[in-house]
Amino acid sequence: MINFAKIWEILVTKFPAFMEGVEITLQLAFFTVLLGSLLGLVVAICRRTRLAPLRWLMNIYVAFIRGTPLLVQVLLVVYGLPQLGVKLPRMTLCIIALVINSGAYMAELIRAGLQSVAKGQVEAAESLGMSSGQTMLYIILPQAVKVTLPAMGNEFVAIIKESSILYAVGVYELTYQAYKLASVNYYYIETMIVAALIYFVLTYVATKLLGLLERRMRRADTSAA
Amino acid sequence: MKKCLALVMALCLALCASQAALADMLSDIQEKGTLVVGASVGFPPYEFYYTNPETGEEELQGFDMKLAQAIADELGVEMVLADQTFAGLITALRAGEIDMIASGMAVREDRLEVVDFSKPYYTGTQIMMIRAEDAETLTTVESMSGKRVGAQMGALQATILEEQFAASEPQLMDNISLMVMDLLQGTLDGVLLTDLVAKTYIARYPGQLVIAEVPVEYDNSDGVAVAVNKGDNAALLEVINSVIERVTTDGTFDAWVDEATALNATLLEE
Repeated sequence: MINFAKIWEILVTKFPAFMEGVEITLQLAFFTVLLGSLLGLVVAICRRTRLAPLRWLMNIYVAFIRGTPLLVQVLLVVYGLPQLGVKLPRMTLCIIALVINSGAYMAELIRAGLQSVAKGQVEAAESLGMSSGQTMLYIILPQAVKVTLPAMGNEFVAIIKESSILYAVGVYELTYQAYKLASVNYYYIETMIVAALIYFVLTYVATKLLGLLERRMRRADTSAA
Repeated sequence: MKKCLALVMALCLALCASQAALADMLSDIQEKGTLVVGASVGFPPYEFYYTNPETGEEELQGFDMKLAQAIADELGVEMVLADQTFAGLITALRAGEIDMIASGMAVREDRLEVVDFSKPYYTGTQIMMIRAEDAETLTTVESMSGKRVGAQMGALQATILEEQFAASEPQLMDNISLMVMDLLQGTLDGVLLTDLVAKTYIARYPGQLVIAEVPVEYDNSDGVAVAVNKGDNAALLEVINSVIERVTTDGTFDAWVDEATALNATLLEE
């Protein structure tokens, strides 16, 4: 009993509302990946230090975030921080929640990237008299980041989808817009199909663009070799 | 052979279709022996979970639930609750997942296009709940402009918010308790609610929340009613209306409202 004509009508007549949602969704994904990868980088490096307590702390953080649902984390941050006296706009709190979540996953990705750098590179740097900090900054990191970039792109695509649960705390992203429309037009399935199509276009285009970027980087590899 | 099979299938289909058309909703419900009632529980005193201090068991309370139970009793079937988000109730009703909605649902024109309503059984008053410290400043619709106002997604209050408080910044959510938390924490400046629900929260946070002087205008002639799917619902509506007629005239319904309000008050004392 799906009304296909209605799907088109909803898309056309409510396009501005959906686009408003798309804008917020993309903003959320952009800032989350940008700040999340920085956080992930810091965490990944901290997990390699000789300071055991710092290592433990970071391991607990990653384990906790990966072991709890995103919605629960969002509710904890969005309602917990104001309780502790941190008054920030709703959107900022949501980005903080997403960054805390994404940072843990990014840390894992970056760890894999750091591990992928051959040991010989480190030994070569040391033999040249570089300090461990210099080795990390000039030798390991550039190579690790390059390996990790495609995975970070995937994280961008993942956040586009995952940020949909923020509708529950009233952030005007794409799912919120669709849900709001459905709650007054009573064409629930049709409206959600429109939302699904828009999400798919977003993630498909993002994936394709990231694929191009990846190929471009491989070309740089072969020309260097 | 193939033609024969097709013919038989077509006949079967036609038969099924005509049977479905013949059976009205009332006999459907009586045949399956259950009345599936859709409600968004967590809306005291309309419907809420109450832990009985004597038995320690969780009970379903609220005057919507009492009414639904009375309708099920009248039909001679078992009442089954389907607890869902408010915004999804009408879709569930239209999809046939639930038989009726008893969830403080106000009769509204746009809803009448997709479902049918019983006689109204309750008329609530819509109000704006604000923090006590803002009671002096937030007194008019104009004073709410630019302020963040919350309302439940898909509810009557969401329509009021859109129509009457167009200059305010709207925030629609499923969960009323979260909106109240937002109000207390300062993320929201006002929440549109039915007075009974607002009074519950004001009792819970005395001195922190108040009902604003802001006038909330809406057409209240229709009130809150039971919703059923469109179709062959005449017999079912007749039973529902007769139960509503009985309980609202003999004082039973008023007693349910008092009981639900009192039970909810004991919850708040703990």
